Amino acid sequence: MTKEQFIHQVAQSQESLRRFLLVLCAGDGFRADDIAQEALLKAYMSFGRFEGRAKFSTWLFRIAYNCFYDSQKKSGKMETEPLPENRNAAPDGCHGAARDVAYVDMTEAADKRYEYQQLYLAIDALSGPEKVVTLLFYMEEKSIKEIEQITDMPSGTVRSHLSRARAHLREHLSSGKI
Amino acid sequence: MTTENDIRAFMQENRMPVTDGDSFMADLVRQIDILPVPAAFDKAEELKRKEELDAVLRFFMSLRKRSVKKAVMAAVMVVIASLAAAVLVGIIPDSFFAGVMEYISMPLVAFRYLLTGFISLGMAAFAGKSLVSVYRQSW
Repeated sequence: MTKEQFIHQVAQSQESLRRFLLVLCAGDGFRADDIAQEALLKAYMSFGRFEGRAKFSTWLFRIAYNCFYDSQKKSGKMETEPLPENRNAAPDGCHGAARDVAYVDMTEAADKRYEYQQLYLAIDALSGPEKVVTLLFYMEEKSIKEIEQITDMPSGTVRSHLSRARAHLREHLSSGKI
Repeated sequence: MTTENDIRAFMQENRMPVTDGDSFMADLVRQIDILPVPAAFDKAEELKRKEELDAVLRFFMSLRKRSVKKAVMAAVMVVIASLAAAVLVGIIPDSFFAGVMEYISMPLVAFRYLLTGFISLGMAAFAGKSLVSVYRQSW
C-alpha cells in the first residue's frame, strides 16, 4: 500500500471510527476527534506492523479502541462528564480554538447528548466492555470475529457481553424507559 | 416482546451523524505530511518499481526464447536438406553426375564454376550461421 492509498482507505473508514469514539466519549466531539487523529497518526507511523490478516478498518478500530482506553487511564475521566463550571474556559484538548467557538462547541456537545439521550439512557448502565461490544455490533455492524480482533477478547467473552447487553436493552425497550 | 430486530432498529435510529469529514481529513493529511514517511510505505514504492522491472525482464526473456526457436528450426531445416541431398545422391544414377561434369567442362567453364561455387558457398554459409546461432543461444 502506498501513502496515498493509506489516506484513501482512512477517508473511507473515518466516519464510522469517529462515530464510535463520539458515543464512547458521550458526545464530546473535540475529544473524540482528538483520539481519532491520534489513532490514525499512530496507524500511519506503525503501518509496517499491519500484516493484512484482518481488514484495514478493523486494524484502525483496534488502534482507536486502545487509544480511547489509554486516554481514559491518563485523564482518569469518567465517560460521562459534566460541563465545567467556568464555561468561558477553553475545554481540554481544544487546540487553538477561540474561546467563543469552544463555548459554542461545548454547548453543542451538551445538546447532542440531550438529543441522543435515548441512546445514552440505554447504554449508560452497561459496563465498558459491554458498551464497546454493543456499539461495534449494532451501530457499526461489525461481525463477532472483527470485534474479537478489535477488542482482543475471546469469542466466548464477546458473546457473553453481547448477551448481557441484549438483555439489558430488551428490558429498556420493553419497559418503555425509552 | 422486544426482538433482536427492534434492538438493531433502535441502535440504527440513534446513530449519531458525523460531520466535517473533509476538514478532519484535511487536518489529518496536513499532520501526516509533516511526519517522515515510514519505511513500510517506501517498501511499497520499491516493490512497485521491482514489479515493473520484472515485467520488462519477462518481455525480453520471451523475445530470447522466440529467437532460440527460430534458430533451432533453421538448423533442423539444414539437416533435413542435407539428408535429402544424401538420399538424392544415392538415388540419382552416376550417369547424371557424368552429365554434370560434362556441363561444367563445356564452354563458359569459369562462369559455371563461379556460379556453382557461389551456390555452394551460400548454402554452407546459411547452414553455418544457423548452427552458430543455435550454439550461441544455448550459452
